[in-house]
Amino acid sequence: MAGLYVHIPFRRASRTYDDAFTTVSGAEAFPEYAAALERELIYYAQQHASDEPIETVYAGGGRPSLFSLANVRNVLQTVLNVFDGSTIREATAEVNPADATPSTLSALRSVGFDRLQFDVLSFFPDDLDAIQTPHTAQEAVRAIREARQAGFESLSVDLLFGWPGQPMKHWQANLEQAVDMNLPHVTLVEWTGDRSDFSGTPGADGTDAAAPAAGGEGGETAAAATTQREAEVRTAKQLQTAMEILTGEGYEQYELTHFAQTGHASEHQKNYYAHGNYLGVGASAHSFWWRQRMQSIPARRWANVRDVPRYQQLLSQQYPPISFRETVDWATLADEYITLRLRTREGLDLRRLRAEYGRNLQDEKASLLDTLVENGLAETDDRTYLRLTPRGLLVADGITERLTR
Amino acid sequence: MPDQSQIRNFCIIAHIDHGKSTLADRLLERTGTISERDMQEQTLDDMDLERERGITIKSHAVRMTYEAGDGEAYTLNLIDTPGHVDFTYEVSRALKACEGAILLVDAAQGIEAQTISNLWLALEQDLEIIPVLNKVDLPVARPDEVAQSLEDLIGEPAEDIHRVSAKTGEGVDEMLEMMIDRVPPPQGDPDAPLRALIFDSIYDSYRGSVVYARVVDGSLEKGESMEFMSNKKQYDAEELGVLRLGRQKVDTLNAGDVGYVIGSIKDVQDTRVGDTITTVNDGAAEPIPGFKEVKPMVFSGIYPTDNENFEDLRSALEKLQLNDASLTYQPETSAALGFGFRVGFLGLLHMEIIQERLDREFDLDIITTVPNVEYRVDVQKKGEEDTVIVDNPQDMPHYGDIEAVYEPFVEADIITPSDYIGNLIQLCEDRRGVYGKQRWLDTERVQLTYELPLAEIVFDFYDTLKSVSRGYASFDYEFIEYRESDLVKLTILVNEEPVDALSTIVHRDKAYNVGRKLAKKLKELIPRQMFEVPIQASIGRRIVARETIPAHKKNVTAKCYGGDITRKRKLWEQQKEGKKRMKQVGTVDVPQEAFLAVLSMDDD
Repeated sequence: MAGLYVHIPFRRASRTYDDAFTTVSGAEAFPEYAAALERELIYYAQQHASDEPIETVYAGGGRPSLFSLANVRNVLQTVLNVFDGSTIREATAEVNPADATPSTLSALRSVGFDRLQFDVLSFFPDDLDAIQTPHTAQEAVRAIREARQAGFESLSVDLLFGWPGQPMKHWQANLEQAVDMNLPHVTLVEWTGDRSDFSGTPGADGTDAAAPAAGGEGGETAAAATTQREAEVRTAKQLQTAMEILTGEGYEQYELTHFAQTGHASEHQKNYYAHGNYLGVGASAHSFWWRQRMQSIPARRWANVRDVPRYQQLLSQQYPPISFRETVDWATLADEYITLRLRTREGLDLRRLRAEYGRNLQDEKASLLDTLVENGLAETDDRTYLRLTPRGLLVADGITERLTR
Repeated sequence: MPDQSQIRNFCIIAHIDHGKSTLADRLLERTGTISERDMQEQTLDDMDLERERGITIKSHAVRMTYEAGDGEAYTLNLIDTPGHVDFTYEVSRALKACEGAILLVDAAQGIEAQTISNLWLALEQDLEIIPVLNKVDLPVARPDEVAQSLEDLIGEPAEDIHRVSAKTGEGVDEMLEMMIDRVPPPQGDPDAPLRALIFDSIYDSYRGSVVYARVVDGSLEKGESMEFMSNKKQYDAEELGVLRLGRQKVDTLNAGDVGYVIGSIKDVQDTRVGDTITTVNDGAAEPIPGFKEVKPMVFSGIYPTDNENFEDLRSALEKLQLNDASLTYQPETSAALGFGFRVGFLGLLHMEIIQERLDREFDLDIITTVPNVEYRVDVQKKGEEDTVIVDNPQDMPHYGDIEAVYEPFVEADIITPSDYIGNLIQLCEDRRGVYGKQRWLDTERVQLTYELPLAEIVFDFYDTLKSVSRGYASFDYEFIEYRESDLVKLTILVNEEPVDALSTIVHRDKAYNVGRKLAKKLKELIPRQMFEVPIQASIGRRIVARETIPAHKKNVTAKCYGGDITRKRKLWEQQKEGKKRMKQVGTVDVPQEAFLAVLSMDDD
C-alpha cells in the first residue's frame, strides 16, 4: 500500500510549539493554492498511480481546517480522479479545535474524511496560554463532542509534552482526560520550539523545574548542560508516564508516540513506520517511492519547494515543484528501515531486513543484540524479530545509531 | 678553497628562547650571506612547527664569508644544533663537527637547564667555549649577575664575558672577531684518507637523502665512490656542495669543510647521524669515534580513528621517517583500537611533534595511547628464566610469572628560582625521585639534581614542573641506567571487559590511587550510553576501584514522520562527525581523551 499526504501550510499567527513549515496568510490565498495542488496531483502524482494503490490520505499542515470547504472538495475530487478511490481505506484531516464548527465537521465528513486529528495539546487553559495556541481548552472539549455528533468514530488528539515549565500533574491529567473521553487514538507531540525565545510562564504547579528561558542571558555551558540534563530527565519521565497510563488503559503503543485502541491505529502513520511508499503534495511536502522494493530498482526521495508563491508559480509553468531529490542507496535504505521499525511495537523483522535490504544484523551485530537484551532494552523472538522494551524505546536513537554503523 | 687556517667551524648553544636564532640571523646579515631585505625571520628554522614553537628540531649548517679586522677573509661555518633534550645525541654529533661554541645566555633569565646540559656536551667534545650574554638591551637584563654565575660555572672571568644584543646587533662584530681569534682552525690531515662526519641528513623527494657532513681528514671529489662506515653501504658522490642559504655545488670538499653530499641514496636509514663517510678506494681504516644507534626512549600506540585509514597512517609514518631516522614504528593490534602502530620516540617533545605533524601535514585522525617507556622484565615460567622487553603495557607478562621489573632512570637537572624549590622537591619526591644535589648558581637560582624514573617524567612531569614554578623552572635529563622497581600492571575494565589501550604500568605504592583517579576521570570523559557502564581498575585479580556511568534517560526524537527522515539522517551525519574521535570499545563509545586520561588526572 501507499499513502498520500496533502500539505496545507496555512495558519493565522505564528506559534511556539512546533517547527512544521507553515505560512501566515488570509483566505484570499486559498484558491490559487488549491489549483496548484490539483496541478501537482495531475501532472506528477498521477505518474505513480499505476505502481501501487493509494490506501490512505492525510491532509495536514499548519491549520488545514482554515482552508475553505469548496477548495477541500475540489482537491479531494482530484485525488479521486487521479487515483483509484476504491482502494482508499482511511482519510484523515488535521483540524484545529477552534475551527471545529458543526458545519465544517459535517462537510469534512461528507467529502469523504473518516478520521480527524485534533491539535488539542492540553486540556488546561493555563497550559494553552503558556504555549500560545489559537484555541482554548473549552473549544477542544467541544470539538471532540461535535466530531462525534457529526459521525466521526476515529478521533485522535495531539498532546504536547516537553515544553519548559510544563507541570507534571497537568501532563498526567491530560492523559487521563483522553482516556476518560474514550478517545480511540492519542498522539504524543514533543515540544521542539526554541527554548531561548519561549516566553511561557511556569504552570500553576510550582514543583516543576523553572522555565530555563528565565535565566537565559547567563548562557554558561555548564548551566546549559544542567538544564539540558534536567529537560532530558523531565521528558523521559513524561514519556514514561504516558506509556504507563495509556497502555495500562488498553491502548497499544503501535509506535513510540502513537497510541490506539484496537482497530484505531492510523494506517497512514503505520505506513510511514513500515518504510512504505508515500507521495506528498503541496509546498515543502516530502515523498518516498521505491517501486517493487528491489535492489535493482532505485528508491527515490524528493521534497517540494517551501515557498508557497514559488510552488504555485512552478506548477503554473508546468515545472515540477521540487527543490531536492535523491536516489537512496541500498545501505541507507537499510538504515532507514531499522530506524523506523525500531520505533514500532511490531519491531524490526530481522529476516526481512536481510532478504530485502541485504543487512544481516543477526551476524554483524550479534554481541550488541545480546547486550541490548541483557540490559533489558530489547526483546528478540528467536533472533527473527528485534523489539524495543519501553526502556529501550526511550533511548531508541542511541540504539539505532549503534545498529546502523 | 680556503686554507684550513681560514676556516672556523662553530655552533651556538643556548636554552630555548635565549636568542640563538636571532643571533644567527644577525650573523647572516653581517657577513652579507643574506640581505636584510630577504631576511625572513629566523631563517634557519624552516619547518612551520619549529617556528611556531620557537625551537630548532633539525640542525642545518650555513657557510658565511667574513672579512676580519686583520684583513683576511675567513670562512665561517655555523652549524645549527637542535635545542632540546630529546635530541641530545644529535646535538653531540653536531658539536663534534665544530671546534668552538658560542654559549649564549639570556642576560635577563640567566643560566637554564639546557644551557648546562649543552655546555657539558660541548666540553666533552673539547670545544673552545665563548660565553656570550644576550639581550643586554632589555631593561630587565642583569648582565653583571649572570656573568658572575657564568664565571662560577666555567671559570671565565665575569668581566671578560662578551655582551651582545642579537636584536639590535650591538656587540655582534666584536663577537665575530673574538671567535676568529679564539676558535682554533680545523686540524685535520688534508692528505689522509677521507673521514667525514655526518651530522645531519634530510630527505629530498627528487634527490634522495642529502647528507650534511664535516670533512675531518682528506677530501672528497665529485663522482668519487664513497662508503658509510657503520653499514658499509656504498654510493657515488654525484653532487657535492656547500650550504649558503641554498645548496651551492662544488667539485671538492676538503679537510675542514662543511657541506653536503648527494648520491641517489633512497633510504635515509643508510645515512645515520654520527657515521663516518670515507672513500671506497684507499678509505680510512677507522671511523671517527662516537657513533651510536639512537634508541627510542618513549613509546606510544598510534591508531587511525577509522580502521580503514590504517594504510594512510603507515604511509604517513614512512614519509616522516624519511626525514627522521630516529623515528621507529612497528604494527601492533589492540583489541580496543584495532590495527595501529607502536611508535618509538626519542622523548616527549619528539612524540608531540610527530603527533602534530600526522594531524597537520597528513590530515589523519589518530588516537594515541598513553606514552610509556621500555621495561625489562625477568620472568620465570615453568622453571625457565627469561628476560623480556616490554614497551607496551598489554605485553606485560602474567603477574604470576614475573620475578623482577626494571625501568629506565634518568638524571634530571632542574634550575629554578629559589622560591619554588620546595614545590619542586615535592614534585620529584612524588615522582619517586632520588635526591642528588642542590647547588646555588647565583643569589636567586638553584640547580637541583634528581634521579627519576623516566616513566614518571613521561607522565605529565614537564607541565607540572612548569605549573608549580609558575613557568620559571627549566629542566633537562639524561638516561643513566635500568633499575629494579616494584611495578604492576593496572588494568582498566570498561563494561566488565579489560581494555588493553587503557592499561598502564605503575608503581605498586601508587597503583591504588592511580586506579581510583583513573576510574573517576574515565567516568567524566566517557559519555553516557544506553545502559549503565561500570568502569573498574584492577591489579592482578583484585579490583581496586569502581565507578558507574549512568545510562541515558532519554535519547529519542519523539517526532519522526516519514517525511522527516532526511532531517534525521542529517543529524546522524553530524553525530558521526562528532564521533570521529570516538572509538567503540565493545558496545561503549570511548572518546580519544579517555585514552590519555591517565595524563590528566587531578593531583588531589
